[in-house]
Amino acid sequence: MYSIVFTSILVLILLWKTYKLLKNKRSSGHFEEIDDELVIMLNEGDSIG
Amino acid sequence: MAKLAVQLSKKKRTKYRFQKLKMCKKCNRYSVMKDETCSTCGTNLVGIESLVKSILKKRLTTEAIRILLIACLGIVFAPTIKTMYYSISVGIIFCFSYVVLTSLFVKSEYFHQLKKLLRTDFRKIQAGILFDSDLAKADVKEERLAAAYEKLREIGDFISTDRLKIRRVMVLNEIALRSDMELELEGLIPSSYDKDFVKYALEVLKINRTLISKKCIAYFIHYRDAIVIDFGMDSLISVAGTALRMKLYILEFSTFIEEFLAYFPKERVLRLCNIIQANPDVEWGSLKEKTMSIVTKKYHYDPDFKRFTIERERFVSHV
Repeated sequence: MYSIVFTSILVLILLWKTYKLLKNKRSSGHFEEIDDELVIMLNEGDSIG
Repeated sequence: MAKLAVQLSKKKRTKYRFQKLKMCKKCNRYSVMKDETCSTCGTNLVGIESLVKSILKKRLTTEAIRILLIACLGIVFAPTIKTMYYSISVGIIFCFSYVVLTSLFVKSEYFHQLKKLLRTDFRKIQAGILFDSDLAKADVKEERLAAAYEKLREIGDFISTDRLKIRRVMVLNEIALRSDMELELEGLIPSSYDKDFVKYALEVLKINRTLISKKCIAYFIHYRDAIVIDFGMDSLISVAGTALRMKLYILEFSTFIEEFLAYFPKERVLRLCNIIQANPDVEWGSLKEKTMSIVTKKYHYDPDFKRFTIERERFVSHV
């Protein structure tokens, strides 16, 4: 019983980690997008000049 | 007022803009300057990529410690020797799988971490750039124009407001421009009419015609009335002459060129004739006709234009 519970906990952790990694991979894009997003955010409000 | 002769250093180029971001860990401040040390405390600045890598490394280490801890707890609390051995084996397999899994996704994790850091530290980045901008202002006040321009140029990679563009132009107007300088024009075009920008553009035109782009010519055409009032007709003639740099520009701005054709120097008219003759299949419209009529009127005696006048005569006689 102990072995089953222990193994299940470790497998669940591994599955959870895989889910998180896949989610991050899916949401990742190109570095150009980061560049564009950064420039848009910094230019909002015309506060620097 | 005499312009200052200065030496501008070459711009540092990176594949992506965010790669220029650096952070002083002591002051907790970002900077986009080329300097490797913090202007406030003198500490070495850390590049954003190194920063993200160290955050990611820290995160993965913490996770690895937690996982090892869980595996160890499983081993420690094992009721029998048999289950303890079982827990050790499962723990090892689990840790190995975890390491393999993480290393497979390291690139996307790096991307995710970078995105997260830029989003969370956005206000800090903005404040850092504002600080850099203040340093540039101080440089202008103390007449360190090269340093001020270099700072504003770096900030310009991130901020594209009219205010910053005009500040850059104003500094450039105080400097004696040379052809060996790495000048910029298209990126400095403001969204409305600005006398300082036009003054700078006309100065650049004398040094490096290639910087006068389509967007720049369009700006001169759009604000032509104000430009004529401030800088006279000659400025528009020069810009129209520059439009002869490329066949595409000639076609795009043919009406504008046609308007000032009569005022062009011989060399510009000759260039236009050469382009027209080299591209007989292109539809030049009334520009071709007007150019030929100017050649006939003004340069019929000139040997440089002889081949064009002969061709025209042949054409007229054929018709």
